Amino acid sequence: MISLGTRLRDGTFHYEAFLVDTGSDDVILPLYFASLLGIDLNRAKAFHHGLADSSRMTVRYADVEFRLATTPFHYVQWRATVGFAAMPRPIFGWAGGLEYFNANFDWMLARMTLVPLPTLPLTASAFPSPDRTRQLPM
Amino acid sequence: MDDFYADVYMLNKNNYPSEELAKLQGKVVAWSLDGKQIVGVGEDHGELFARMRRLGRSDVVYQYIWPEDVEVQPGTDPSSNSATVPSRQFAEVFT
Repeated sequence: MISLGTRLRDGTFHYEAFLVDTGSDDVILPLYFASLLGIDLNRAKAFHHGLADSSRMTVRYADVEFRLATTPFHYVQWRATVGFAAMPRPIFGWAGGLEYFNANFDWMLARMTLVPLPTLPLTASAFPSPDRTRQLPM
Repeated sequence: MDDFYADVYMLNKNNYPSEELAKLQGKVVAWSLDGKQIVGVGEDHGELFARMRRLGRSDVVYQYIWPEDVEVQPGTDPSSNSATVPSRQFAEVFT
């Protein structure tokens, strides 16, 4: 899982745990995200997707802005068209999400590394400068 | 969220007692930014969001606790509903 920020209308970010799912074609947000973000899904395009268990799910699409941060001084932000569906938790899938990163999963270290690709449509970013010392709150 | 350090958050979160996390399956929780404690629990996201907003708490990370978020050590009694092995979650890093 990753802790991903979603930009609210007031400019602040709502952070929530997203399940990283390479088996999902899209980034999918639960329906409660729509009210959180002030998005009227009635105006959004709807598509019907087939699931692995042969059931179907209605997904409506709208634009959101994400922030992936390691520290307050090290983050990337991007806008993406993502799906909204009746799910209990958000899914970080390919379109709008994983497609913009090289991902490495290290089981021994229990560490997942996401390296932004040049295709990431940045809206904002910050990277640590060599002279900035990070104090780890423990 | 000016104090959010992802590696510290995940490190502390991974050390959260599994038996306590097991009690929260199916619920939504709000983690402190350092991942050391759960500062809010709700039956659904709407209820928890509203409560945290009333408390003025935007410095949290929300998570829906699924059963697979909690591991049970092989050999333990599955009917005991207790988890003895900390759930293994990947720390996220991006470079």
